[in-house]
Amino acid sequence: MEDPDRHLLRRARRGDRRAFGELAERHQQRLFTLAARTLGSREEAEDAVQETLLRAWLALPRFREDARFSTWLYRICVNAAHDVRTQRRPQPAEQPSEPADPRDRLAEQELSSTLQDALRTLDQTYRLAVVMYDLLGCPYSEIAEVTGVPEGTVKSRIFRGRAELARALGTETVRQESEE
Amino acid sequence: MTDRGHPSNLELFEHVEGDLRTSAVAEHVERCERCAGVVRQLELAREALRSAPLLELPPKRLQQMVGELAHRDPRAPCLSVRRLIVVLTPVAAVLLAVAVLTDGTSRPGREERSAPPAQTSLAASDSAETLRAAAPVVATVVGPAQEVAALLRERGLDARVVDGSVEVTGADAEEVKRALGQRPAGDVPVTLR
Repeated sequence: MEDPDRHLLRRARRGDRRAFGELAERHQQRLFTLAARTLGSREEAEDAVQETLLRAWLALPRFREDARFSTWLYRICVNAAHDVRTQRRPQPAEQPSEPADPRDRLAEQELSSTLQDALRTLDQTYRLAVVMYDLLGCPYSEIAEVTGVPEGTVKSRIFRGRAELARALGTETVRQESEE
Repeated sequence: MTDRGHPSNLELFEHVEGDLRTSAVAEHVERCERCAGVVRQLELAREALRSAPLLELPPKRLQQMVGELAHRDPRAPCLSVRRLIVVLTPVAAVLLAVAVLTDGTSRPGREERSAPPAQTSLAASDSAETLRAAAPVVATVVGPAQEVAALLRERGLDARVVDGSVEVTGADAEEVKRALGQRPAGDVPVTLR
């Protein structure tokens, strides 16, 4: 199936920033959702998306079109979100729970739904798997390509992610298989 | 199926997703309360996730991000705007302080005045304050400042609270006034950056 971004992509690779802007517009919602739901912060997600677009723009000449453009973008976004997360300054225990920057407090409030609170309790690999599969509707193959694991592992991570999510949402404990 | 006669987690997952070609797992789930419970949890979690909306960037934010690409040389190292601001702001403050100090001592005919060391940092912070105070004030509205900033962000503007005032980036005065709407006058300045 032809990549729907192919024509814009070719123009963008020739340095057409407007074409790249259109590509960014097409994918911004999914990129931002991916970053925000995995990072749990709109502000950090904006940083991650900005970094994603910058890296993609700079790396466009090297994009070989052996994967879909969206898959390539997701991979960059996942890496950018990881970098944002690792650059977080650890909060000392004695600091008040309210963030120093009022924007962070409001940003957290925007994402402080029951679901987001539950997502925060998930292991990062499981969180990414359920966000990509259930929130973004990505197929197993695309998640496998983005995360660099086999499809069977992707399914296992989605299963575990949903199981932990159900637990965090306060439903019954999911049976744990001993051989897993 | 596992040795205990129950489907594996993977099989239960594939059953929920409709990926299985045989009916063995479905038949087992119908008669096994334990596995039926697992299936319910998977379905509940899936429903909770799939009911969540996709999130949107503020409209102008994406324009800003793409606009900034024009200044990027593919051979330059990758730096986010935020990191650049963190690095350059103290440098700019120091340069401004130096400029203010040298301006006070360079004019011919004036008495020499040398500021004691303690005043240098004050001068730097005063200069930062001067910079901030010089930013054009679009309006002064009723607070609190965090609420004003949140209102502006809801309406698509890049707004943040800085020292009790609200600073808007990447917008003109008209856009800010429209976004503020009929908010009453107060003591929270809204400035443009």
